[in-house]
Amino acid sequence: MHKNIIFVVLAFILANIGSLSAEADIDQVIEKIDQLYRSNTSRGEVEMEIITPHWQRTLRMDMWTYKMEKTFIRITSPAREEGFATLRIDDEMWNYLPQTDQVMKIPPSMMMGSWMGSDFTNDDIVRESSLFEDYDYQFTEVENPQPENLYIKLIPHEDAPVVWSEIIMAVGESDYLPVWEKFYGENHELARTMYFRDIETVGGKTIPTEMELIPENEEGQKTVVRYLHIEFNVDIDEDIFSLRNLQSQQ
Amino acid sequence: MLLFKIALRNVLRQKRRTILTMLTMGGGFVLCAASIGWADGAYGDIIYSFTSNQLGQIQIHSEDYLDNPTIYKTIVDYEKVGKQVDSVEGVKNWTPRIYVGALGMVNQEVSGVQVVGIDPLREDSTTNFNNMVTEGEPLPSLPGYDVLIGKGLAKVIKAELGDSLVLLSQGADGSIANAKYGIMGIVESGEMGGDRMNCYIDIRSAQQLFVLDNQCHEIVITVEDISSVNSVTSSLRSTVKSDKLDIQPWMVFAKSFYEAMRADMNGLWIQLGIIILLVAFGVLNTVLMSVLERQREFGLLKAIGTKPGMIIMQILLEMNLIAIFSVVSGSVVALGLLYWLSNYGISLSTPMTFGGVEIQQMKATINLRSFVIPLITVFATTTVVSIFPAVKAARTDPVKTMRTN
Amino acid sequence: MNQEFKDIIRTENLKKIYEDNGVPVEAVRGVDLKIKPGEFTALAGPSGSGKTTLMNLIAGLDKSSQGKVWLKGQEISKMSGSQLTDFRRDNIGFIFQAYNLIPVLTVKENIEYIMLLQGVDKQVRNERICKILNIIGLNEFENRIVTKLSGGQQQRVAIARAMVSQPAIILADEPTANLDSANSSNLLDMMHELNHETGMTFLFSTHDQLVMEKATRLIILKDGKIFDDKRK
Ligand SMILES: Nc1ncnc2c1ncn2[C@@H]1O[C@H](COP(=O)(O)OP(=O)(O)OP(=O)(O)O)[C@@H](O)[C@H]1O
Ligand SMILES: [Mg+2]
Repeated sequence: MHKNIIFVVLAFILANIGSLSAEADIDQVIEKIDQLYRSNTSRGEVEMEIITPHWQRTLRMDMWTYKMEKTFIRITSPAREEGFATLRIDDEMWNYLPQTDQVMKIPPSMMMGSWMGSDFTNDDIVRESSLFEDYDYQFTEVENPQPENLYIKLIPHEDAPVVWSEIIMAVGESDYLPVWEKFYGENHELARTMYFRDIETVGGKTIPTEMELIPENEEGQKTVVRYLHIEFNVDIDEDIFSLRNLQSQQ
Repeated sequence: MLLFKIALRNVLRQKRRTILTMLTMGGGFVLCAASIGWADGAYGDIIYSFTSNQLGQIQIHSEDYLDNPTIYKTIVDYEKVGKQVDSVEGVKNWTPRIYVGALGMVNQEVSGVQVVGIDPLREDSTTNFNNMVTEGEPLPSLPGYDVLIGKGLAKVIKAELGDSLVLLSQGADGSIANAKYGIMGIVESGEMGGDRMNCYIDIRSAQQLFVLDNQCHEIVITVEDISSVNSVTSSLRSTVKSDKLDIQPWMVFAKSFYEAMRADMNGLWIQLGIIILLVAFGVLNTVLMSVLERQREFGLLKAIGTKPGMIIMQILLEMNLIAIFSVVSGSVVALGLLYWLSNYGISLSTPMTFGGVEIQQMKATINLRSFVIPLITVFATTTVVSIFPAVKAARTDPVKTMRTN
Repeated sequence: MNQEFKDIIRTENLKKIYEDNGVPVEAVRGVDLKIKPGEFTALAGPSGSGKTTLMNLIAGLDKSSQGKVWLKGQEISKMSGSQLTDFRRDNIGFIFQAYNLIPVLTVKENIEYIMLLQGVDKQVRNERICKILNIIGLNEFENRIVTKLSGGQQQRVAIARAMVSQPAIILADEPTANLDSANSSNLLDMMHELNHETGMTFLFSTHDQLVMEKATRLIILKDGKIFDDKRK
């Protein structure tokens, strides 16, 4: 009788320890990923390689960010696109079109449109969602799991400004760095997959420096983004993130 | 001849009944003829305005373009294809087009637009495009930075004549396509979806902007005679020999419109069916009456050696004689009615839209089938309905019917 | 088929039984009759004695329940429907009590009808019509629609129609029933004259004493049987 009670209590405690440790774990993972590219400011040089069945091109651009709120991108090559710039402040977005010397604000209806012909949408550039705040998350299982990865399922809160119905994320067990993310659309069909590679320590942070985005149902199409150079928490003139600067041809 | 004489005199003898029957048959004939002529006229008009307004009656695309249109699925060297099109009999005109989606901006107002690259001269001679330019001027014949925009689009982006329209899109090579155009005209095609999206620039400008040298997405063809669309399509297919190209008549590329049209036509056939049913009852009434009251006559005819077949023939002849009178007089009335309807038509107090085409006035057409279809149905109905009573008459037993008292 | 025959009409034990609401009615009850070519025979008897029935059986309009009929030596019950129709058309002229004529046709056309069915030449037709119209005395009414004639005139047209195709036998069921006595007598005289001239065989039923008197042979029917048969 006595023995039995002790056994039950022990089992109960053990079970709770297991789940408590798992919950602590996943919060840490999410926190880490949320902080990964987040910094007060950043300045970098990025290469975007766009591959489609019809053409293939590589864009180079300079990029500035300020907290999670502001982003400024200016294309430096190829020549035909040189000077094209994008400014985003919160969830608003403007493009500067050098050929016509015009600033065009992207209307909300066009947010899902492609940015510069890449597989990234305008929304991807604008989005400042926090996994921590916008999603419910839990560990999950996948087919053919790799032992070195953790798998997390993210389901957005109902009112979260998110277009995906679900995201499955693979994270390295040792470093909590993302390995891949699979994005599911409205009808829970796989819409696209992003792979993270080339983990390097740049500007004081250890991050994957290459991201490959592969859309589903678009054969032969993908976009690869590489950080050629990045610094975090540097001094940036806040004027960079202004329409005036957008329009000035640097 | 003798049969004919007897039949004719029988018909003339029962004047009242013949006239009543003629009213039913002739009335049915006129209703049928008017319905068909009316429907053909209205449908012809709708189809004509639907197809001549931008769509054309036949279109050529790169294979698979219609199912999944993208900037890359082009007709290469379209001028050459156009020459082949011109050589086909029945083709009236053709015009090439480029379609690319873009962002359009006027005075900071931005909207998604459909850029349509057109050949101003060809477009106008093929689809009377310039008539749809309700404000401002049509595109000049030489390419430049001019644009026409749909009326709905003008409203959406609050554009006025003389404003600049900035287009942002992507060329076929992936490069940024960005240019600024002066709005010189507003287009009202009557097709509201299109007017809310479309802006028209010279096809040569479009080719440059989108890096589509010598290419287009669509060739729109109009034909001399709208009823010959299918035959012209097949000769186009054999003339323009390219398995990379898809040549379709409007019934295919405007499938939902075509099906709506056909569904509407089915309504017409049901209407005709009801008319025929009424005619059939009228005929049945007449033939039964005339057979029943003439039993003695048929008994006599049989007694003195007339074969049953002749009696059947006689009754069918009688009813069809009435049918002939009805059709002849009905044709005169129907012709007059259709003539009036085709010249003056009926104005609709509230315009009807069908497949995006606005119809203000409905007019009938005078064509052969408006007369031939009712004619065949009147004779067929008459014969079918009369045959049973006629056979019954032919079976008359002279002994029973001739028995006096 | 043109075998020798002695009697142009011959019946043997001819019977006709009708069903009247399930009750059998024996209209003709075993008639043996022989009529020679050229005879001018009246068939008399009370109403319901079976005169009409007998004549219909002889004409092949009705089917006998028992017994046989020979016309011109041919047994008509052995003929097919279509053969019988043709046989009637070519060999029997009918005169009924009423409704003898096609109402929409003229006198001439009514008379012409059977000849048209037979395919007689137009010239022959016209000759015969002309001649018969003379006999019946209706030349001037040649092109009148028959419904516009008096009853007597109509019956005369019926005789002309029956005779113009020159059948061997004329069957007349109460041809004078709807006529007054003057007209009856007139019609009978005409028939008799034609019988004399052409040698056609006449068999007519009648109630009329006057008509019976003009016959050369008088057969009395009673309850479906021959009650009396006299030659004058
Ligand atoms: N179709 C029939 N069904 C039943 N009974 C019939 C039919 N036809 C005739 N009969 C009967 O057969 C009998 C003979 O009739 P039929 O008409 O031959 O007489 P009839 O001598 O011609 O008389 P009438 O002088 O009145 O013309 C009558 O009793 C009649 O009621
Ligand atoms: Mg009788």
